[in-house]
Amino acid sequence: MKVGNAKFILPTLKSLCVFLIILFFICGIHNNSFSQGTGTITGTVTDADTGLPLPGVNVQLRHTVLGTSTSLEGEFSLSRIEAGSYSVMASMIGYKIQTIDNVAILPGSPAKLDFKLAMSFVEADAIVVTASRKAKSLSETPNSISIISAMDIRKRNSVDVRDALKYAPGVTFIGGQVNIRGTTGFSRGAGSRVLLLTDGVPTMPGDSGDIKWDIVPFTAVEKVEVVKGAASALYGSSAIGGVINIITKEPAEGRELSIRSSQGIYDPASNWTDRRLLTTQGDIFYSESINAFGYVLAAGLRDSRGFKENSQFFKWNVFGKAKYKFTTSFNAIFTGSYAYDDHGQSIQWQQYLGQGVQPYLAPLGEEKNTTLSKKLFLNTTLNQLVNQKSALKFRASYFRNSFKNDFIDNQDFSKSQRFRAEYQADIEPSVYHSLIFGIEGTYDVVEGNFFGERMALMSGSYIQDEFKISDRLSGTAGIRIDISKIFSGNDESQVSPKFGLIFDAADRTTFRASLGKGFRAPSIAELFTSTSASGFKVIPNPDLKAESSWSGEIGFKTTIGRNILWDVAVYQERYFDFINPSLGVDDTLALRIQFNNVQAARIRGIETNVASTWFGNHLNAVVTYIFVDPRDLNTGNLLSYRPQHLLTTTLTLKKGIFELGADYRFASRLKKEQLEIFPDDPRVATKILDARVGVVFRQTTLMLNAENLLQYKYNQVERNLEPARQFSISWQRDIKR
Amino acid sequence: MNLTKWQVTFLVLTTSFYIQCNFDEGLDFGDSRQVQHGIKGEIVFDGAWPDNVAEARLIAAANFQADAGALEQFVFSDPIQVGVARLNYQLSLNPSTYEVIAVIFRENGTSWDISNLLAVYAPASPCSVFPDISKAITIESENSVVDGIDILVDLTKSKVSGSLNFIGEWPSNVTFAAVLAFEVPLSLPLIPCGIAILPLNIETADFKMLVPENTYTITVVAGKGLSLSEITFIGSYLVPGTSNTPATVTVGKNENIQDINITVDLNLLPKWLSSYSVAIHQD
Repeated sequence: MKVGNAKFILPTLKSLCVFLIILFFICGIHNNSFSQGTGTITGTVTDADTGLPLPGVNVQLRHTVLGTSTSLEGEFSLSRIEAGSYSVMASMIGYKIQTIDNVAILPGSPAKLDFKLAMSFVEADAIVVTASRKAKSLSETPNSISIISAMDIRKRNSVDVRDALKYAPGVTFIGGQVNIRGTTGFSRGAGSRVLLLTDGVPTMPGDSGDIKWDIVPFTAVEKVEVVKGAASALYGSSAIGGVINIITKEPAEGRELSIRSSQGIYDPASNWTDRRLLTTQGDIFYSESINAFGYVLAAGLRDSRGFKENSQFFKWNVFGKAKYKFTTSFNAIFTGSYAYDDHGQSIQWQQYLGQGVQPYLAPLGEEKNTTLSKKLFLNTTLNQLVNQKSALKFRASYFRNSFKNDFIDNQDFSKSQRFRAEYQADIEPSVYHSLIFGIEGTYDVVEGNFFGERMALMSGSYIQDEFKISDRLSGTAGIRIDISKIFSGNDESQVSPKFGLIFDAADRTTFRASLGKGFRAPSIAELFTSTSASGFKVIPNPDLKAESSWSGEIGFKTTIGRNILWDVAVYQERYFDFINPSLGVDDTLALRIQFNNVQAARIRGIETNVASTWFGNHLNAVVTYIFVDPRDLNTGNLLSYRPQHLLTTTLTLKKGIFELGADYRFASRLKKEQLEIFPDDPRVATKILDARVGVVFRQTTLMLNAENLLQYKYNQVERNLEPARQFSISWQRDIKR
Repeated sequence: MNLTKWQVTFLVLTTSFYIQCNFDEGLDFGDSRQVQHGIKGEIVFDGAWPDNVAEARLIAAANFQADAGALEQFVFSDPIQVGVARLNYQLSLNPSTYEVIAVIFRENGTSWDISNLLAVYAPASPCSVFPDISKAITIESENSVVDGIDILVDLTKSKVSGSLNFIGEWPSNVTFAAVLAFEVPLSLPLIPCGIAILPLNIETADFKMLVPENTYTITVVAGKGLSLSEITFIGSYLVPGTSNTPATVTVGKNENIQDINITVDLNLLPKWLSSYSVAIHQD
């Protein structure tokens, strides 16, 4: 790559950023006329059963951009509301949404509202922010969405967010790579068809294009939203198969401190070592608000000897978030996180001719192969409330990802930097329309011997309208245009439209349908990786084109009785120029991996999810079943590494301070044609049972977890054993003042 | 919650647990795993493993077509542990007839190269590196395992390398060319102890082969098939400065013999090479 290009592009990007910031503040001038003839709403939100105040409840003025959250005392206040009649909605995870209609606002006469939220394990509705890039209730979005709460993450003794996502409906992991309804398969760490967001900001490295789960300590996570199906109409590349949005905690009212510690041990089932296979985790979280300033600090430490040879890791990460409210209509949020990860790596287990399989051992010579990776993420968000009908948001972020292999036959390294800026406008012109539009640009710089020296530019602009057709029928229409330029690769432009309908058939039954186009530009890893390790050789393919898809879904959700929620969705994704890693041999028979465009592929299936609660919320059960039919349409074969039947069940029994839980995952056995390297290897289905028992007493949580309780031995990718049984005990103390 | 509900809950949980407990344990890594179809036997390694060996594997090819890309036709076994002295093996092979079963190694920092054949399964002689078509192994069915495929690997072989220069045009019906090393004095049956398969229709090429300790004549052969009866000599390594005096090369153990340069004048060959057969006959 010519240095001259960088000299040209960087000033251009800087100019664009300066222009956007100026535009941002010019638009904010409207704010001056915002405060005339307005009223306020104040009130409280309490638990309907206990009467205790609920902090952190989201309170929204419907059909406006105004919203707030409750204080530690469960109080809220919304000011500068134009006179009129409104609906006000209060929502919180674990509680039913409550809406109070016909709230009259008169200038100088504050309205007082008191919400009493009823607990609900079966959440037919909740507020989500990912599907529309702004807060909307689930019943207003045409997409299938799953929500993982902070408690879901905490009670599973998670190392990172990934451990809790394993039980999210529709989400599976193959060789550590996330799949939403079988989209990604296993691409050996290069590229992902799922886009990861952190607080709405894409958090994907510019080189490998895969997901780095450790970028946020999970104690800082408020919730995780999973949007299924193509979301490129709003989020552009990588959102072709879905979006996962990690939403971090806001600065708490007052002060909040959490300390967590966990100790675990892997079952030394194979006696491959005399050492105790211990795992240690420690986390700390602190949040405080002082007048207009609030901040969050979080840090985590993970140390594991691993369950098999050379699977050890040492990781730590830190996270900070500062929010300052300059005025009631303008605030700035600064976020930063850093993650350090030093881990052992073995591409396959030890299997020598005539000596059988040693699944817990690394091949000789590879026992000390390690990879050191470091990630830095910085983001600034400026929120400007123009008036109660419109708001502006400006975001600028920086993501640096670097890694270095220390292998016996490979010392590869790479460093990538991603600069990103985004400008978004949110307008509620009437109760019938909710409009959002924006522009964004991304610039990647990659250097190192793994991918070479590369640069890539991508820009996109989008608009989406959510409109009401009748009292029961509403729709979504949007379009996004993306232009990508990968130097030394292909220049491409993509148009991604989206349509959706939601029909409110009955009081607690909704039908939804969506159709959208998605696309994914190939990652720099898929284009340019050139390396060899452990007998594998990765060949670059600079001619690789972007893949695109049409993704459609029809679904319905209904509540049966008071305690059963049933959701069914039928979906199909038709891919064009599908990017797939193909294995072969070169002239000298080195095992060769190269990413190629398969002409056409199709992934279709059905997902059904039943959540129920029994005995007065004491027993909760969630069962999800997914059938996936992933096909290479050229050959008719199943796409590799995608199980066709997936089942997850979660049972939770609560009585007083005690909690007992069990999670079960099933993934059907891969067909022979779905294995790329060793199709003749024995294969089994995945059948994993995790269990936990715990005590939640006042502000202390004590949990005993058993993962893979039945010590089931399985692999998802050839010759890579998945984790053995692990017992762990965790303790967490939360202090709020 | 009344007792009945607790009982129901308990029943659900215990039933679930019972179902789990009745599941299998997953993958079986025990010693009882046997191949259903393929070959089994013993590989014996004679001598110390050279330092430059990154890995070694057993390979097998059915319907072998000899050319420079020949390795693509092979089934590769799991790696052979470097340093091992002998091993009993099983290799899963689909039903077919396998003309070539061999042990090959890969040098550190390089890819697989067919010149690095350590040994070929050839019951006629432990020295042989040339497939013996008449001794091809047939896997009859999905339940057929052929036992006794024993291979002796001489790890003390020396590397012999050089360059080739071809003058003139290649006969159109040549499908196989190679450099072979024969023990001298020549004796019947002729059994090559070293082989470097060559690409066809080339003007120049480098070659290398592995040969055990002995004295050899290095020859270039071409032909229309993978059988000693189908090939003919087209050139030899000559005493430098002479035009037709074959040279001999004496190698010891673990040596590296270089500059074995050979010129082949293709104009001297009959144009009907395919009918010019049997320069070497085996009885």
